[in-house]
Amino acid sequence: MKIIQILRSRGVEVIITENARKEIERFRDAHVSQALSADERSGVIFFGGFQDKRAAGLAFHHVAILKEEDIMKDVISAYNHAKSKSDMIFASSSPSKSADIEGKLIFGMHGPKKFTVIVEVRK
Amino acid sequence: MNIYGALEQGSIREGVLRTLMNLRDVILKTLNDHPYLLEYADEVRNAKLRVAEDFDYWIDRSMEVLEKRGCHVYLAENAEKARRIAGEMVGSGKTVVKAKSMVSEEIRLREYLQSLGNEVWETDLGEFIVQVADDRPMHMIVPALHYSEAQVMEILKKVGIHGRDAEELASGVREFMREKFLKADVGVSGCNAFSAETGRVFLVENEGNIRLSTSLPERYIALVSIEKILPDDDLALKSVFVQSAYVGTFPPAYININEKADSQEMHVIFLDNGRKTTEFREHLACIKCGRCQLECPVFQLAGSLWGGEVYGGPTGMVWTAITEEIPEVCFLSTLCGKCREVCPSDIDMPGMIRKMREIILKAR
Repeated sequence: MKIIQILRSRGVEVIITENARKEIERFRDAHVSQALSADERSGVIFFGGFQDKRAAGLAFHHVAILKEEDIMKDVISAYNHAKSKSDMIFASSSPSKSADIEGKLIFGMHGPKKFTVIVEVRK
Repeated sequence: MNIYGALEQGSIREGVLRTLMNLRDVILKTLNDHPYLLEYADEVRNAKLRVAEDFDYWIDRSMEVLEKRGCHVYLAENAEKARRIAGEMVGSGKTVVKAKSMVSEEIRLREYLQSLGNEVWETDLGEFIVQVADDRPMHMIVPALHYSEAQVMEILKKVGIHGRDAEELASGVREFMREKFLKADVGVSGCNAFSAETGRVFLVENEGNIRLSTSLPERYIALVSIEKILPDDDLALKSVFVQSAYVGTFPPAYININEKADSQEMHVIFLDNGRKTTEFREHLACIKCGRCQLECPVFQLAGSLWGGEVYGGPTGMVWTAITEEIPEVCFLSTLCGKCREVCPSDIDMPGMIRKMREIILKAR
């Protein structure tokens, strides 16, 4: 899956598993969201729900559970797939970051400093 | 400081060139790896120009959709009216958190809300630095590019934020701003793209400040300049994808797709301010990525100080002509054509600058 390589290249921790529930145990201090879909080409991951958006924005560590079957071939397909499941869509693709001070890249500006994606593959 | 003062200040040139060097290869690699973005750019340009041909229809449609979804909707013909509407919604004695927005700069919203007795904070790091320094944004997307790390250190001391490097300073700003986010009464944002189909406001960012500014306060105000209207969600999403690619931050860390939430009051102000009747209609396809600014040889010397009160650089010449008046400094353009060459919407800015010169000369 191309998306795994893309996410890792931008500082996202990616875990591939057949049992996401088991992996979540390791992230008790993080905010965990169920991803609705993702774009294979860009690594953009869609979520839904206003409360989840707020909580994910405030968290220091955001963990997403992404099912393999929800990975779509392009962003439009991924967005429409997400819309078919929920309202209040939002998307993330990396930890929060900024390069506003002399172009120096820092993570965890206002949102999560760490972003983990657990990809649940079919058994 | 005016454009001549800017020429004396080497840090503007240094900052623009540093940003250009950091981003140019990234942009080219993004377009190479994601060639479909060029098709998206064409689709977005065509759709924007189609909307601009019949703004009244698209504004009515957008307002109707938003009202049906429970939003409060307003149409402001000019900056003064937009300020007044926003001021009535905010009142006084409130804490307001703002996302970076060129349209809010256009209507001088922060200054106006402060004059009503509100505490107003720019939450984007670069824009916050500019606010504390009592300066103006030097670039549409990278507003504080003209400050060195050492200068930022000094600026932020004014608000009690200390740090020895960018990492520590950013951490101090995070802590400072988190308190503001949590107590804010009102959140204000601009809009990168608006869907007339669903009334959704699309905003891209990397820091996470827009997410917090627009979802935590009980009252949310979105400023939508009318050229941001697109017929549907797919085009709006394509537009923000193209914008982030040409800014050099593709894909954006966050895409916010804001709509009315049950627990939040949402107000949307559509701003015309010269757009409906402009003779520079082609420029309404501009997605404000700011790439033309970085590549322009005059901007590289003077930054946004080459332009009007708000907008600078090649795109800024035209935005100033649309929203204020034709800037005399358009005569300083070299007409080298680099702005059009790198523009995702292939906008003929040199042609429009020539036309501005003709208008000025004819009026003499």
